[in-house]
Amino acid sequence: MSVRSSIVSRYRQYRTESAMLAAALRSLLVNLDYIHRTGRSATRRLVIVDSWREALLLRVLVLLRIARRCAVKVVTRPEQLTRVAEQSKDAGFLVILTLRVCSRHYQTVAALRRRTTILVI
Amino acid sequence: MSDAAAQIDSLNDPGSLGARAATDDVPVGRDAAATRVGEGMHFVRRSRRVRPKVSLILLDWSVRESFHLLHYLSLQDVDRESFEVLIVEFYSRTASAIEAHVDQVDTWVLLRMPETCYYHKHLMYNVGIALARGEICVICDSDAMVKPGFIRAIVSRFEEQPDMVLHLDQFRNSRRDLYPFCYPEFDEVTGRGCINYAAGVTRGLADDRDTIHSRNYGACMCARRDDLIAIGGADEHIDYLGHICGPYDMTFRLVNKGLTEVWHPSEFMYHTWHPGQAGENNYLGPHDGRHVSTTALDALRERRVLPLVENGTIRTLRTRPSPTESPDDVSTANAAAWLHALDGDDREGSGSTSTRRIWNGFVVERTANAVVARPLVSEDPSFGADRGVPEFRGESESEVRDAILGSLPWSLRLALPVVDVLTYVSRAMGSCLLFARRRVSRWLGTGGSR
Repeated sequence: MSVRSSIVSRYRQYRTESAMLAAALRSLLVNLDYIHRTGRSATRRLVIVDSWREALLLRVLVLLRIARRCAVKVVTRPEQLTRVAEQSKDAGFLVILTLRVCSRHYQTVAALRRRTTILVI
Repeated sequence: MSDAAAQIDSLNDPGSLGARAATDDVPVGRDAAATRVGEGMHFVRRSRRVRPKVSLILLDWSVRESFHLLHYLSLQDVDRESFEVLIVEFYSRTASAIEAHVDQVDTWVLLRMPETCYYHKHLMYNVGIALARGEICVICDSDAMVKPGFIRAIVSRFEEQPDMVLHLDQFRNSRRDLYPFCYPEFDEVTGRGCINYAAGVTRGLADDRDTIHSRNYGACMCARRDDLIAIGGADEHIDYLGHICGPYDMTFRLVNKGLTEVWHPSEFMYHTWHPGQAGENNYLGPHDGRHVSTTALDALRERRVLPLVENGTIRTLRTRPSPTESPDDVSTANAAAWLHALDGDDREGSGSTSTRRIWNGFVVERTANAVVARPLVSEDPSFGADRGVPEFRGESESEVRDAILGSLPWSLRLALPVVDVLTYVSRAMGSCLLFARRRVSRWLGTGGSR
């Protein structure tokens, strides 16, 4: 692969991945609002993401009262996800995962979803 | 004339088994014309194996230069009766690279699709699954190397754990001097130029953070034929047209069905460099930026088991009381949806010919006479459909989009473009940092290929 095509391919990857991430964040914010408005306003919500940048942005938006109130946790490994999801379930949280967390750990998510309610946005 | 070429000639002879099978074509559906796009299937060769344990499904769309997997299959340490090899060609080419190893081929079928029809691997998977006679279907690369214990390793894993979908990862070597394929030693492939060797296993196998991108899901996927039929086979949706597709579509839905996904810890495939291996200049359907289909990822989110578009023959097999028999013909009717989809189109670059897209957290669907949108979360079965799902309807997509934006609080509406910008900027900074870190580790000799 020539240097030019390598740069073009990297740029395309960056552009598509960024667009996907931005769309995922938009989805999350809009659907958090929708969940709040459809009778789950009293339910405590936990959003699980897989990047610190995403978590930071989400926390800032919650602080500014742009996003609906929710707790945010970052998980990067499947065993962390199991632990966090089970602890949150015991604490009465509605667990919400981003699609990226779901696709990265889909086997763990499939097993968890058989036992507990997990929303994937 | 070589023995192999003579064998091919005899197979093409009107009196041979292959030609007989072609003339005996009996569609599983009601009407041959209704189940076909193109001239209809032609068997160059048809398996005579009575009850093989494993069916290997190999694909071609008139592009493959080498089928050296067939050579390595001739060196397997199991009884040859225990496995069969099926080759599915999308167009009409009888590849000379196959002729060199034709004694290893049991079923060789040409779908004879029109040249104007872009290739769809999932249709070929379905043809392979439908025609397979083995209990276990193996969909794998036809230009990879395997060790003599390859088939034995698959069979023994399924004997230990029948309810699973098994994957084998692939060592990949980027050395140009191994092209054209020159039958290197296995150590050569895992040695200098190997891009994913990590202490005896592939780097993907050693990684548990992002398996979907670090492992090669298309290298080799094995599942019980009955399970593949039970999930409706491969999805023939137009989003999987071209390069963005793979057996992982079925893996995800098999996991949704309750099967366990297993990656073999010690058996691998070995792949050497060849031109066009990354799908350059191919049409790309919707993907996540790293060539994983977003339509397949949606199946994970939705916990969907059945495909969006099911093959007619697979459906017939699925709904029959005994789904084990293999038919004589397989439906290609779904190809009508993508037959002219790319006429005069730029075949490179990401795009979607789908009628369904996600916009601002809403699923926007184009139906025959309207555009309908509903929140993404309402599709989640655990959310509950009894919550009064708001639906936005309109004649055009822009009308529906305006209605969606109008339903959002003003602060959120204002924040969405800011979120976009912050995402792009933070990712650009992250990419720069990653690039710098990789450069430094390469200089220090702690990273990179072997």
